[in-house]
Amino acid sequence: MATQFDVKTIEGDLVNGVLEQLKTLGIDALKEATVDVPAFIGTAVPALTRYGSLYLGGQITEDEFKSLVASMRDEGLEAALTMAGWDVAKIQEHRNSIFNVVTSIVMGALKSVI
Amino acid sequence: MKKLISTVLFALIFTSCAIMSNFDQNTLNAATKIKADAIALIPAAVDPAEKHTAEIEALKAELSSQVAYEQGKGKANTISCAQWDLIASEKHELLGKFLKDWQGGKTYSPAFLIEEQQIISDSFDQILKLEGAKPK
Repeated sequence: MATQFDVKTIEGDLVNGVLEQLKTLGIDALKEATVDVPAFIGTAVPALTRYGSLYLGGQITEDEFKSLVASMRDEGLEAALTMAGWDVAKIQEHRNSIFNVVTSIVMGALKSVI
Repeated sequence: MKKLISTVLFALIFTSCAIMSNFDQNTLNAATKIKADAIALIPAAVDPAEKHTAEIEALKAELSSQVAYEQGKGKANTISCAQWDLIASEKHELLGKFLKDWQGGKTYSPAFLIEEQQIISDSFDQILKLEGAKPK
């Protein structure tokens, strides 16, 4: 069993893993989304430290440790998608406002014709 | 005047194409229920999957039915679809993969299952957060 592991290295790999996965999803909206990496790291570091302690303490196996790190990466991906969605929802809200203005103009024009 | 009308019509057509699906109470209810079912089932993975086949199959059916429902909403639901795919997919490391590995013969330590439960719970929370932020 390894006696040491470098949380910083794993954390860096994790963030890069999430960013790489985002690129492969090919969702246009993600190009404009801001992925809040510091927020993700803020959540990931305590969890990674806990997984490391469980592994070194023999409470989880090496396979389970690796599986948790991989799951954490995919959870980060879920969070990044949420942030992307929030950005898109804001744009949608803006477009809905424009739609309402345009609709009222058209309705006004129609009423004046009728 | 004609130019004004065509501009207005163009703007109407442009703005009426949704880029984000609207809030869906069915999705919110389904995510809450599937999350609860998953959280309740995960601790059982200290046992072989054969002891819990009915619950595992029921959860997998719920998941795949929800993925199909989300896909049915079309392009405007792409981001939510990607979130559901991540959770349900056997290629990623969330619920779908966990259930696949469990049925493939793995069993897990209680400490692992507590952490896995938290990750799956947090992942469903991301779906719920996005659904809650959609235009109503």
